[in-house]
Amino acid sequence: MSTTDALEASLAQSQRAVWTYGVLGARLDDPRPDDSFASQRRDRDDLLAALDARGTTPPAPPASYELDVPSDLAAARRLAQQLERDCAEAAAALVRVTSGDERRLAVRLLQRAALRAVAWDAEPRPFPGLDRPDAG
Amino acid sequence: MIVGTGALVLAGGAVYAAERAGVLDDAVRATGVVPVPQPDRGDERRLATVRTTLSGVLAAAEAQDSPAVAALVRQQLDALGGADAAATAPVPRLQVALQDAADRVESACLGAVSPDLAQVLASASAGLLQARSLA
Repeated sequence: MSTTDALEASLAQSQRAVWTYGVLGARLDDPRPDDSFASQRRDRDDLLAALDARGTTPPAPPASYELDVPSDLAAARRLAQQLERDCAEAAAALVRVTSGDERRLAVRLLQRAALRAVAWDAEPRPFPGLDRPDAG
Repeated sequence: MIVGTGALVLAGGAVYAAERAGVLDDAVRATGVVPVPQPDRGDERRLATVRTTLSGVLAAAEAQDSPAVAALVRQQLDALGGADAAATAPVPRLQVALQDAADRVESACLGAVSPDLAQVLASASAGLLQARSLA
């Protein structure tokens, strides 16, 4: 995977998360969707800046995403944890193909996804982004 | 309880095994066989530094009766080749130890030559930040 491809893959995950947290924020009486929304927007903007620095214009995000809207807080929590796992995995893949400032960004993205996951009550893990809870 | 890191332990073990393989190269060359490329010397130092750092966090977690943090850090150490028995640094407060360790592991990641090592260290750094919620 090229660095540009990995940046775009991370961006796609972040764009999906921004959209989803926007939906959750409108439905939940809980501060976490708004906090995660703001944090994911920062990630998205950092990734757009990194791609811009490479002279790359990424494809526009879809207008909407398929979503089973959570019916309660527990379902929202599971959805948020899944979003952050996906973001962490994309960031871990980005680390492999970057150096310098781009790797620094990839590490930050991975750390932020890991912290957002914990904010949504995910269990801390030794290697976020590399170890699926349902793996081996 | 933390489960499901089997695949990763293998990956981390491979990093450690590759590091150890470096000491065998002279013997391999003597047989006329071209050895596999050695890991970067700087990466070997980075991995050793990370093991020492994590060993310090493990000591802090055990001294401050935080078994959940100790279990998480022990899994990280297992994947990276084991604890450093020589770690004898003073034990700081656990929250401080975790933040400092995350910063050090991140720094090692940023300098790593091997993509495998960089990825594992980035993830370990994120895991240490998560572990602050357990301390």
